[in-house]
Amino acid sequence: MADDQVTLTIDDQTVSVPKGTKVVDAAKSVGIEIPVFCYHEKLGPLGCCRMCLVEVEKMPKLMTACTMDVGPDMVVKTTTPKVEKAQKGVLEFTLLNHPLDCPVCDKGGECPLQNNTFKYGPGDTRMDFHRAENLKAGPLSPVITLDRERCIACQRCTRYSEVIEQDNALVMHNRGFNNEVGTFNNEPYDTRFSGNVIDICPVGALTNSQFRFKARTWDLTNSDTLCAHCGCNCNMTLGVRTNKFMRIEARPNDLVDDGWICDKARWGYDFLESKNRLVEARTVPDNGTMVFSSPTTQDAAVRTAEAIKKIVDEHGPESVGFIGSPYGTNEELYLYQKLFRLGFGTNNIDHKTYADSPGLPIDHYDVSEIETADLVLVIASDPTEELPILDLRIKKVVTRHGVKLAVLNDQATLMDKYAHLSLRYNIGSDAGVFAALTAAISGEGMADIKTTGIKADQLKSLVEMLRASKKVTLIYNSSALTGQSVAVLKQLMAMIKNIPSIECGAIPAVPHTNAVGAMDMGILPDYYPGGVPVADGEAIQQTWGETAPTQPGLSAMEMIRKAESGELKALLVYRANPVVDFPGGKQVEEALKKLDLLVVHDMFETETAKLAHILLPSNGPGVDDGTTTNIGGRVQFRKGGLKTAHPPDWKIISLMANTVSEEGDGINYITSFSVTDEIAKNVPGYAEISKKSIKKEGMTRVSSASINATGAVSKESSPPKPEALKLRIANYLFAHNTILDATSTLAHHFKPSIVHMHASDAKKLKLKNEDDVVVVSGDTQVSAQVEISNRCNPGGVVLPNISDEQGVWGLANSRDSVTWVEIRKV
Amino acid sequence: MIQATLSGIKNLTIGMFVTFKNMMTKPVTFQYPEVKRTMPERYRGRHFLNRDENGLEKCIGCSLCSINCPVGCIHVVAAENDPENRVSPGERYAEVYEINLLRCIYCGYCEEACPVDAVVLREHYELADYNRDTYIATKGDLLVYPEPNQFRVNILGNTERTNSK
Amino acid sequence: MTQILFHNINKKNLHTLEVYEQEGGYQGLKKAFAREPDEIVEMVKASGLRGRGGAGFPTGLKWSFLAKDVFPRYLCCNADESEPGTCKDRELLLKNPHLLIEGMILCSYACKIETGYIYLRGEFYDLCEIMEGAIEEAYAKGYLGKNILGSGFNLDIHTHLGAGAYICGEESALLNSLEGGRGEPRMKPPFPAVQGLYEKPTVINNVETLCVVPYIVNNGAEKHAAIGTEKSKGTKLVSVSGHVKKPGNYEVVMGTTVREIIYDLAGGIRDDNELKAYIPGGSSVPMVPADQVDTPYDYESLQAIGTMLGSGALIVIDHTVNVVETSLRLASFYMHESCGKCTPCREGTRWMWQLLNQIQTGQGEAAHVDKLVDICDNMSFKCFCPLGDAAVAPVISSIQKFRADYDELIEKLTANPAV
Repeated sequence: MADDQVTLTIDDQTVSVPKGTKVVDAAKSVGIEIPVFCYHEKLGPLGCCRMCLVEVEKMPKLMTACTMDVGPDMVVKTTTPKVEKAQKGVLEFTLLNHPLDCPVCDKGGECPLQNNTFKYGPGDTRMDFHRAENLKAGPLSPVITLDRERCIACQRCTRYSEVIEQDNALVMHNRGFNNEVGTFNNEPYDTRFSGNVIDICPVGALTNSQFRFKARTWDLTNSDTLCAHCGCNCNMTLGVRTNKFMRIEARPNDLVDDGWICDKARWGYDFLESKNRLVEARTVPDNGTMVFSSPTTQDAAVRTAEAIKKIVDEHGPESVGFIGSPYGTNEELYLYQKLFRLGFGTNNIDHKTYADSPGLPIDHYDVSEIETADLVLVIASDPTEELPILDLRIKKVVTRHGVKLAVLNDQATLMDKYAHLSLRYNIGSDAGVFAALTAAISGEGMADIKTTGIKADQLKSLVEMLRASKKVTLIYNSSALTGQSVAVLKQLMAMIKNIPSIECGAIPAVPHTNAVGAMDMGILPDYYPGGVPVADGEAIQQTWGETAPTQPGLSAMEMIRKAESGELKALLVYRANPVVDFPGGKQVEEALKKLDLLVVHDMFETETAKLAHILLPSNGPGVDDGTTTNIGGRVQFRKGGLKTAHPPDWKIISLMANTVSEEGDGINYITSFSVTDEIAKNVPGYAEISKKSIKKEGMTRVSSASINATGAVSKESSPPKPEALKLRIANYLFAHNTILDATSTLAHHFKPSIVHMHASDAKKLKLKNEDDVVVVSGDTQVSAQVEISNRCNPGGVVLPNISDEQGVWGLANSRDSVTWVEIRKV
Repeated sequence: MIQATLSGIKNLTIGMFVTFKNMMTKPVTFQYPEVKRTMPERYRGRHFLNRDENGLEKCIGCSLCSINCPVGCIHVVAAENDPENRVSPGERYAEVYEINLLRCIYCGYCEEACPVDAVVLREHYELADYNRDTYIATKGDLLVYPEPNQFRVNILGNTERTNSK
Repeated sequence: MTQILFHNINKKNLHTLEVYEQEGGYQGLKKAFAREPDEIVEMVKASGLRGRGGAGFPTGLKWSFLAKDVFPRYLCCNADESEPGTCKDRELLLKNPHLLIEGMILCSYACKIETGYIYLRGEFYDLCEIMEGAIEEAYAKGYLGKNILGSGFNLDIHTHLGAGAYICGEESALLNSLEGGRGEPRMKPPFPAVQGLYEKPTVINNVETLCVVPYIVNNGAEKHAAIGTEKSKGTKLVSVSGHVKKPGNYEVVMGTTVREIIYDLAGGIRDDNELKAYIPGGSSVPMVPADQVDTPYDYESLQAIGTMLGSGALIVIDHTVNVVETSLRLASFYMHESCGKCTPCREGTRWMWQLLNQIQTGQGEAAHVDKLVDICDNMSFKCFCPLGDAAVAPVISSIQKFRADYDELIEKLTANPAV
C-alpha cells in the first residue's frame, strides 16, 4: 500500500483513505453517516457544533470526527450508547433556543437540523424556559433574509466569507450566548458571492428573499441545469412549481464551479418572466415586401426561410448573413451555421466583434487544472467581473495551495490583491507587451517596451517567474484585447511551450456563456465547426458535401458595413443585440435599417428587435435543452425547466432548414440530443460527446488543432487631439441590461456611470473626483462621473459598461485599434 | 294438501309477525331531504378553514396538508404577511388554498397534519352539485364556517350550500 | 518556609531596575548565556517545574516540543489572569515586573525566540504601564534589544492588552486575540508548539511559571527539584480568598496541607465559623467538602480526591453558605464568559444558569437537580475547549457533595410557596 494511504476501522468496516482525510469523510466514503452542522468539506474543519462526536479506541473522551485526521489502525465507533447519548445531548443543546417554526420555515424539508433531529435527536426537549427571542426575518441584504432566532451559530457562513470569499464581510458579533451573525455596522452583505451562504446554512437562518414563502421545497420540480450568464457554466438547480420560476440553488460540480455559484447565477433569472420577453412571432406589416399577419412561430419561421432563400436566389449567397450569439447552445448554433452554409450557401456567419480564432498552440486547460498549476498568469481578464467563479478558484489556489499568480492587464482588478506580480500595460499596448515577452523568453533580449508602460525589470521578473514554474495556466480574455494582438498572444503561448521544463495550457476566458462553443460550432466566417478553416476544401466537402461554400465570409463588423453600403440584403440576428453591443452605436442602427430583410430571433424586445421585419421568439435558457461548452472546454447539458407555447429554438431552426432543403424533407430531430449526436459526428473534437458521456460532470471536448497564427504588432495609433485618452471598456458583473432589467432582484447592484482616470490626466484636464463629464468619441457621448484612481496607466480611461442605456459601445469606432476619447466637463 | 296449507299459514304468520313487529317500531330510515341526519361529531365531511380568536386565518400556508394528502387534491400557495395588514398571525399565510373535493377521499390526513388546527373536516355531507367547477373549493369557500359550531370557537357565517340541522 | 518568588516581594521599589538588580536580578542571564540553549531546556526539565497556569504540564517538556528548525518562534506570556479567585500574577506584575522579564529572556534564549509578547487582561491597564516602564528600563540597560549583554542574542518584548474575555486565558484563544481576531479557542492539533502565533511555533507560559525560571538558572535544577513533593516540585503561589480572616497571596511549598494554608497562613475562618467546603484551584475545579481539609496542596494529592490544583486560587466557604448560591454565581460567570463557539458550552452554560436560578429563586423541583446532573454530563468533555468542563465542575461537585443544600432549598420553598 502506498505511504499516503491510511487504513482504519470505522464501525467494523475497514476503510483505506488518503492521509490527512478527516474521519467524517472517511466514514462517508464507506456509507457511514456521521451527522455534522459546522463541517463543510470546502471550508475545512472547525469543530464547533460538536455534532460529530465519535468514540475512538484508546482516547479517553469522545472526539469530533470532523477535526480528527485519520490515523493508522484507528478504531472508530459511531453508534455506541455513549455516542448516541452525546448526539442526543448536543442536539438538545442545539434545539434549546431554536424556534419550532418548521412549518413556515423555507428550509423545512431540506434542513440538516431537521434531518439530524429526526435521525439522532431526542424525542422531546426538557427545556421549560422561554426560548430566546431575537431578530426574526430581517434583511441581511436585499436578497438574503436573516433569522437570528433560527441561527445555531455553526459559523459556516462567516467562515465561507473568510475562507472562500476572503473578504470577511460576514462575521460573528458578540460573545457566548449572544453571539450572532452580522456585518460591520449592519451594512448589507451584498458581495458577488453572498448567495452561497443560503445553501450552506444548515438551518433556516439565512434564506433566499426571492424564494421566501413561495413554495415548500418538496413541491418544487428541480431541473439540473447550467447557469447561462458567464463562461463558467456553473451547475445549478432550477426549481419550478406550476411552470413558474421559483429559485436557483448551487449544484456542486468540483470540475466546474467547486460547489459555488455567484449571485448573478442565483438571482439573475428574473428575465425568465420578464415583461420584455418576446411572446409571439411578429412581422412588420407596412414593410412592402413582407406582408403577412400574426403568424404562428412555425409559420414565421417558414416564411423567414423562404424570404431569405428568395434574396439568395436574386442577389447571390453573399448578400445574406447571420450574426449568432455566444449565448446560444451548441445545438442552436450548429444548426444555424448549417442552415446558412448548406441551405443558403454563404459563409457570412459570425458571433463576435473582436479578433480571435479557434485552436490554441498549447493545451486547452480545464478550469480544474488551475489547482495543480504552480503559476497562474491572468492576461487582460478580470475574472471578478467577468467570470466570478473563476475568481473564487484563483483565490483559493493562491491562498491555500500556494500557487503563484501573475497578472498582466491594462486595468486594475481585484485579482491584483492576490497577485505575486501584477503588471499594468498602457491601454492598447497589449500586442507590444506580448511581443516583448515572447522576445524575452526566447532569449532575444529585451525589446523596447518604453511605450507599453511596463518597466524592463518587471517584465524580467515575470519571465523569471515563468521559467521557475513547472506548470503554467494562462487565462486570457481575447475580447479585451485590441486589434490582432490575440495572434501575438498565441505566439507567446507557443514560445512558453518551447521552454522544455514547462507544462503549459490556456483557458480562453471570454466572458460569454458559450463563447468557446460558438467558436467550436463554426459561427465564424473563416472556420467550419471544429476549427476547420474554410481553405481546407477537401475536409469540408468530405463532411459537409459538395455544395459547402469554401470562400471566407464576412465578419460581423464587415456585415454591418456591407449592410450600410447596400451589398448585404438580408441578415438574421440570433440572440444578439448589435445596436447596443457592437462598436459604432448609431451607425450600426442606421446600417441595419438599410437591410431589405432583418430577422431577429431573440428572447427579448431588444433595440435590434425593434428594427426587425420578422421577429421570432426564442425560448433560451431555463426553457430549452442544449449543451454548452465552458471556458475550460467542458461540454455540459443545460436542461430546461419551464415550458412555453413556442417550439424550442433547435426545432425552429431545423424547420427553416427543412423549408429550404432541396430534397424537400430534411432531417427531423427528435430531441436536442439528436442534434448533439450529429455534432458528435460532424464536429472534430466532439466525437465523444453524447447524452451519456456528459450526463454527470460533463466532458471536455478535444481542443482543435492550432493554426499557426500570424499577427504583427500594429503601430500605435496617435491621438487625434492632444488631450484625447485611450478608452478601455471594462465589464461589470451586474450591468443593467435586458438580462438584469429594472425589476431585477439584483437591481441594488446597479452602478452609476463612472469614468476612471489617472490623477495626472485629471490634473491636465482640470478634473476632480465626482465631476460630471461626457466621454466623447465622434458623434457619440456618454455621460459619466470622474473617479481618479490607479485603475489604469496615464493616457487612458477605464469606462465600465454598467448598462445598456449608458451605451459605451457607441464610443468605440471598431475593434481594429484602440479608441480615442475626449473627456469634457459638463 | 291440508298439511301444505297449514304449513303455509304457519310460515305466513311467522313472516307477518316480523313485519307487524317492525310496523310498531320507529323506522331506521327517514325522509331525506325533508329530514336531515345528525352526523357524529367526528364525521369526516367537507373541509373548512378555521379562524383564530382575533378573526385572523389560522392557516399559515405550510403545505403540510398538501404533502400528506394521499390523492394530492390540495393546492397551497403561500405568501408573506404584511405586518400592517395581517391575514394570519405568523409570518406567512396561504394566498391560495384549494381543495379538489371530487378527488378528495375524505381520509382526514390533512387535518391530522395541520400544525395549527386550521383545516378541519366537518359533518357536512351534502356535496352533490350539477357543476364540476363548484368542487374546487377555494379559500373563500373554505373559510366560511357553517353553524352550528360545537367544537371550534369561531362562528363566522353560513354558506348557502349548507342546510342547518 | 522556602520562598522562591515572594522572598523579597514587599521590598520597596522592587519594581525598579535598580532595586531589582540590588536584589540579584538579571544575574541569571550571564549564567544562561554561558550555556547552550538546549542545556537550559534540560535544566528546566530536570527542575521538575510544571506550568502554574492551571493544567500543570511540565514546562521543560513543553519547550522541547517546539517544531524543529522553524523560525521565527514566539513566546507569549499569559498574563490574562482571569480565573475567579486568582490574583497571584497580578502581585508579581505589580511588584516585580523585572522578574518576569528575566524569566522571559531566559525562556527565549533557551527556545531560540526573538520576539516575546506579554498578553495582559484588559483590566490590567495600570499593570501594563508598569510593565512597559520595566521593559523600557530593561531596553535602556541592554537586557532587551539587539545583542543582549554581548551574547549575540536578540529579544524584543511587547505588551498587549486584551479586551476583557476570560476565554483569552486559554492559550489558543489568547493567540487568536493577540493576532487581532475573535477570542475563540483554536482547533488542536496543531498545537501552539507547532503552529501557534502567526502559524509559527510558540511557547505560551503563565507569569508565575516564567518567574520561577530565573531561580532555576541561578540556583540549579537540583535545588528547585529538592523543594516540594515527589512529583510536584517547587513552591506555589496560593491566592486565598473567601471566608478567611486574612485573604491574600501566600507562597507555599508544594505538599503543604490545605489546613495549614487556611488556618495557619490565612488565619482561619471568619468569625471562627465552621469550614464547609473549599475550592482548591480557582472556580474551574470541583469543590471539596471540609472533611478533606488535610489534603496536601500539590498536583497529585488534589487529583486523587477528584479535584485539581488549577491556578492556585483557594476559595474558602464557611458553613453559613448554601452552595447553590455559590454554584449560581459561578454559573452566571461562565454563562457570561463562554465564547459561544461550541454548542454545548454556549447553550449549556445558559441553561444551567437558568435552572440554578430557578432553584435559587424558589421554583425548583427535585427533577431540576437531576436534569442539571444530566446537562453537566452532556457538557463535560464534549465541549471544544476546557471552559465547558470548567463550567460544569463547580455545579456537578456541589450537587454530588452538597445535595442536601439543594434539597433544603427545594423543600423549603415547596413547603412555603410564597414566591
